[in-house]
Amino acid sequence: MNQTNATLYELLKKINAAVLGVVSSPSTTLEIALDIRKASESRRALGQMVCVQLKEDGRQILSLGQIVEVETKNRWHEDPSFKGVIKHHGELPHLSGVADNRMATISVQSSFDVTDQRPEVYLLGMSPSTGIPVEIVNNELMNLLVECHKGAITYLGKVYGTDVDLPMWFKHFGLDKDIPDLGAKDAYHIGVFGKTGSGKSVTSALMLLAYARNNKHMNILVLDPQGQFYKEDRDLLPGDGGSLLAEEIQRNGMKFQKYRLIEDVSLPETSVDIFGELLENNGFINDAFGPFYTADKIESMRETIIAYIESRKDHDPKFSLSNEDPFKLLSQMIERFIRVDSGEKDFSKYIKDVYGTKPTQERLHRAIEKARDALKHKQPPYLKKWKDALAMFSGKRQTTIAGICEKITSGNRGNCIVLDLSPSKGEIEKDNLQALFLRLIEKQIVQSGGNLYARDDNANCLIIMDEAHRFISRNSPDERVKELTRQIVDAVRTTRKYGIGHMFITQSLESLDDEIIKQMRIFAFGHGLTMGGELRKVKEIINNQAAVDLYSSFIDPGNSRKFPFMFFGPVSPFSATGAPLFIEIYTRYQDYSDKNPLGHSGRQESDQARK
Amino acid sequence: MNEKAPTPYAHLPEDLIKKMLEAVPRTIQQMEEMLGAQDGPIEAGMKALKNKNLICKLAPQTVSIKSIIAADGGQVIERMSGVDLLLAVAVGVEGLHSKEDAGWSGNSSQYEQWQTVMSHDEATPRLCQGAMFLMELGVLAGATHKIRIMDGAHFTPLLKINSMLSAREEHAGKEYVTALRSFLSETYQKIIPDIPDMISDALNDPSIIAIAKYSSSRDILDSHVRDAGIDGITLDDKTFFALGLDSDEYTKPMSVGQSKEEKRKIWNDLHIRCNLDIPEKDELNESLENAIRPVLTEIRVQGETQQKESDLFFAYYKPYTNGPAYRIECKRSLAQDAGGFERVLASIKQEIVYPDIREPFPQYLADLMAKSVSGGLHALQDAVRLSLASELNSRKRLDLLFSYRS
Repeated sequence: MNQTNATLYELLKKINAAVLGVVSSPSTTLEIALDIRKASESRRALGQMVCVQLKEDGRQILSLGQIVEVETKNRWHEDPSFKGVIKHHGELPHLSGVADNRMATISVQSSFDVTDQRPEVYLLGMSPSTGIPVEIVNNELMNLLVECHKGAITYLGKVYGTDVDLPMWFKHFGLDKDIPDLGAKDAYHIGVFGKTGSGKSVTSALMLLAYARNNKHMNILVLDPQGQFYKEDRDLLPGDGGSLLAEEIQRNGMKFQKYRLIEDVSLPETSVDIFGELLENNGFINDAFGPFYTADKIESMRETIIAYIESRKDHDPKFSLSNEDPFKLLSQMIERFIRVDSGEKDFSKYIKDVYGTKPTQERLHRAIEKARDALKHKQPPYLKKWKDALAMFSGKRQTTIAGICEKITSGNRGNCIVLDLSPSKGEIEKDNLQALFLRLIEKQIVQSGGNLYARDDNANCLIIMDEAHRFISRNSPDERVKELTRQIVDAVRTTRKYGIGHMFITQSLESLDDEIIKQMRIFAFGHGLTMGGELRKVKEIINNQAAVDLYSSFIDPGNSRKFPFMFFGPVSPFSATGAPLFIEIYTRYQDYSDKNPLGHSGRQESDQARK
Repeated sequence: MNEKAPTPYAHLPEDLIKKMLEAVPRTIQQMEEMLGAQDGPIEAGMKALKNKNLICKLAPQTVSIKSIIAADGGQVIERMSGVDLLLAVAVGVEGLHSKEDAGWSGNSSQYEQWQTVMSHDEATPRLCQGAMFLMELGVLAGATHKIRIMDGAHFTPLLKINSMLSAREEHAGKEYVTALRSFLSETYQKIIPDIPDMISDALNDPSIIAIAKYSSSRDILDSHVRDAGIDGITLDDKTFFALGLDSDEYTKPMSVGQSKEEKRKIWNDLHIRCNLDIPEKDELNESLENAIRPVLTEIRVQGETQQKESDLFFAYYKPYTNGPAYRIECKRSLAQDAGGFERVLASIKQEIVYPDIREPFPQYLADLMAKSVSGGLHALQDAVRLSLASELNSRKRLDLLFSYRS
């Protein structure tokens, strides 16, 4: 028979796959019990991708699944009477080992109708018969099955504990007329979870590259509170070659830009509250008007400064934080604080807003006078802090928050922007300030996405948020984080229809807001979420005890130098049933680049660009 | 309105269990009377036996033999609506310490199995049991291990084989004989006249011993103890020695039929006689008589009855202070080899993981293996039923494939 005319079933029959065992009982369409053959007892079984060929309604069906549990049973060792023999003699002659039965549980991932030349995803309608051989899936079989999806496949690693590369897909969120497999037609929210050292960053970076392969369709924004993506930490793409994330993104045909928020990005005029926060954070308020003995008084002073700036904006339409002379603005503010205007008694309303009693008001008044005098005669240290905060509103910076958000939600695709929100020189040390920035960005994204949606367009954009647990927690003691959480939850609910998906990278599942978790479609669990509350959450999401047990058995990558992950959601042609997939992420970037050609649609352009 | 008196109706099984539990004190009293009141006579009996030098002590440094197996059989008959399904097996398993000559050499068989289908017949249990015991003897005789433990007593297989061959009493006919022939040919490539040889192999092999888990024999109590003037012990020998022997003490091996009662009841009249309607019957009966002659205590020579000592010996051995005494049957040659016999006892002791398992390990394991035959029968029954269900052309016949009871 001509190879090209052969049906998939015929081609599959020619593959020399090793038989691990046979279908046992009880089995369902989602979980198959397996009796392991004696000859295969010394093989590794846990994590293996296996397949079962069966017939249903006259069609040839191939069911694939992953072994999530293996069990040895020896009835003699379970007999209480024999326990005494074992106690005294260490084993049961001719029975220990010899009479062992090994059983496994297969979590069915996907079934395909392989009757014709192209596999069609199939919903198994009948549990398989006992005694059917269970074969180990090898690369040859895997390649044959995904041949027709080739253009949409990305490989992030190997099937857990095996040498078989696991085909996955990271689809853009729009409709793809050229390669339908590439477009999900829906935005996904994604969670990447794992403790420090679990390979979370490597996995996220490879997922970022996987999405970057959709260069003609997508934009990507990385919100980077630790600067890991901005600095292009070489650990993100480990290996001998020392590949840099930015270069690889560009090689995939995406335009890469990166900014440091505190140096490169101009904040909007309307964000006076952030100006106040910056002054509080960098110590200006305490240096200039202190000492303040309680945090609430510093906050009151911050609110006073914000009130003054708002008042200026109200009375002078030309007033702009980006244009004002810093020295002059500070002098004017101080003068106003100590001036008693008509309608005010003893002290200005600004001082009275901070302190309620006359002695404390007097003390603040004296401090402000002292600041005024200092400003007249020399350049006090706090002046620089004032200038630095004001500089963040300067129009001379490379870009604006709005500019970034517009770019990644615009109709122009192929932009990848990394925005570093990490602290520098003490300006942004607190989570609450980063939370304010994020609020600003999310608000802008929702607005821009909404505008695009109103024009009947789709943003097709992925927002990656690292260290998400720090900013999305309803239980945070910080009101700003709580507010940000509410806003992000709202954004996550709203933006999916705009074609905006979020990828949250976080160490903790438990502290992440429940509503966010409910909205997620794709989960990647790295090692370490095995403590009480964390594991309980994983169980709630996965709802498959055997799979959770396998996940719990992941070895710490610190010892194994492997990055095992449990993926859950539509990430592979083999995840049709919704059962989790177990994978070991490539630990060398070279392995990733060898398996994955550059951008799905931009490969030629990128190659030409390099020439 | 008059209230109707409730209809008397018991709460079952609760009421029944309650009644059983209420009778516990009486049961305890009975046991105390049987066991507790015997202390004095037991002590006296043991003293008498010691005076007669019938009690020995196993030398502490006795070297055990590390080549030991036990065999056991299992049989089950499933009475289905239309036919009887017969299944018999015999298995042999090695002991904990089997190191020398371990394994099953070329001609020996570690297990035997036979199954057949017969019409409903009163005699089928005889055939099934007889086949099982023949297989058990076959496994024992075929093995090459130095100690081979038969489960029970030597006379049990002889009784059952006799029962098999004399089944005409229960109207065993042509079908029965055909099934017996096919059993012998399928399992051993043998014919009915070969049965005496199979028995003879087992009865003459000194490596084959028997250990009874249960025995009601009073051979010693009714002979040596009573002869010493001690009467009133209502126990059996095995219980008597369990209470009377110290650890590692054993009775000097004696030929079976020490007492008149036991001789009369068992060993004088032990026989295997075929009454099946087969042409080779007379020749077979003569061979059978010769085969069991070594164990008998009475034989006929030229028409005259002569008393003789059986070549089958027995002893009681108590390996552990708080454990039971074991009745061990062996052949004359082993019984008369004091050193060899002690080595066998030491080997048995080594196989007893007391108190977890009361019998020697291979005997216990063989028993479990043989009992698993019932599980096998269910599987066999299901496989047959499923296969035939699709082939039987009449729905009426389908019921014939099921058990006659729910």
